[in-house]
Amino acid sequence: MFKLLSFEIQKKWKMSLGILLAYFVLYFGFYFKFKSEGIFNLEEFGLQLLFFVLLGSALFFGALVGAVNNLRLEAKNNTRDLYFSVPISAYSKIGSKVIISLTEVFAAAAIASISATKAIESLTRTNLLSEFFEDLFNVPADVLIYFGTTQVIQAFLTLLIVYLSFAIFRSFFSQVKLGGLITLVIYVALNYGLGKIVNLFFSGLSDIGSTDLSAWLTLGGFALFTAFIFMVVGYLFENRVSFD
Amino acid sequence: MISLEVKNLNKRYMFVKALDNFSVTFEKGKVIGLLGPNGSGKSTLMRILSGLLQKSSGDISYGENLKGKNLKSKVAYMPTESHLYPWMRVEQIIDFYEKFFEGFSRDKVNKAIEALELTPKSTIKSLSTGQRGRLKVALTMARKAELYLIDEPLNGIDPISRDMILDMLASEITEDKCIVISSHLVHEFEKIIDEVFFIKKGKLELQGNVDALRAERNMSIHDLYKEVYKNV
Repeated sequence: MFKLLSFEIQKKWKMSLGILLAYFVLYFGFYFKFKSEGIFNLEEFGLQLLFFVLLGSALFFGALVGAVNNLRLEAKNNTRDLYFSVPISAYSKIGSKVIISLTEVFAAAAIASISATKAIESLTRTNLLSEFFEDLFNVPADVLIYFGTTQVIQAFLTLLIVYLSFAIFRSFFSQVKLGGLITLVIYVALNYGLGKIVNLFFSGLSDIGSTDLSAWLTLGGFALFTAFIFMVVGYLFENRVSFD
Repeated sequence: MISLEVKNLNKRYMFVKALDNFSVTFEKGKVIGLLGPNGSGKSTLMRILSGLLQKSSGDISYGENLKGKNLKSKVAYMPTESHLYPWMRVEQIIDFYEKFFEGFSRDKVNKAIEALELTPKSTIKSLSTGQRGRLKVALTMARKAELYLIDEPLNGIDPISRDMILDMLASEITEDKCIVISSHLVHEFEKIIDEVFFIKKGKLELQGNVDALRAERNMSIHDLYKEVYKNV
């Protein structure tokens, strides 16, 4: 697994660093431009704030697309014959891709939200970020841990559903044309069906903010369900997937 | 001595039967020529044997029950298209093979790289088709495996590179491995193959020892190929 993780980093770091550099060039370029020009009217001020929201969103969605493409392109390009010939189990291959992709998504989300908020703070002369952190420190630790863990598992499941769509397409429909469309249909169906199951987990909770035993058990069940989906993706890539 | 036994192998695509009750036995210590025109089923067979493609039905026995990563460690497959990461440098792809394929011989590939006059710092995408083809063969043959499946190694390769690849393959023949080479460029391979299998529309059309077939038919394998496929 460690070897695969280091390969994933080797594959992605130049591109990721390039995107980050481009992001900060745009960020600081426009930040200093807006600062030096000042504000003439409210409409223009709104556009300035919107720019940083959109820039941060672009970074985040770029990371999301990268997470999806990490497996999609690996299974599509000619290099798949090398990658999937490597004598390491498909479970490790999928696991390494999920870990690296989600690390990148979380890092992008953190960078985008902090930098955009900082720019908005500076332009509006407010203290949004420090107020947010002050509020965050007042939240009990168990609620924070519960909420954070739920988000991480939710992110794992979201990406695994995308990867499961690829696995199902390549296992049962790989000879059919319009692969992208079929994968999308599979994804929508899976998302709907599996979403219903996830809702069943959490519908039993009486209070959303509670962290009592039943809430932790629910979270445990959710984690096991996500692990099950991971095993299905790994199984399909190990035993059923065809690279036509 | 058997390296691989395939019985009644079928592969059906939506409207095409790529392999039709295909049965074959490959023995260790031999270089096998898998011959046939484009679309005859050679690549499909190789991809199934390497675990990259699922069969529709049939039995494949490697002498032991090989699946998943065990299969991939004993079967070294080289596809026709370049499967090397284009962004990698030559030295990085060698590191990749060394890291992921147990028993990979760095010395062997370094010697080949030297002979091929490739610079380790060159990126894969900057190499010519011939250089890439030679590098692919060198990397695949430096792996420690029992069955080597080399798919169309001479496609789009210049004559000098062709000779280099043929020399490289000929120098790798040992008793503990079986090398299967698919091609429709028969003339070049005739001098290094021991046995030949002619595939036609997913079926085994003719097979035999190269010397025996030459003597029996009184013609070269190249001429025999033209005879077998004259109506295709």
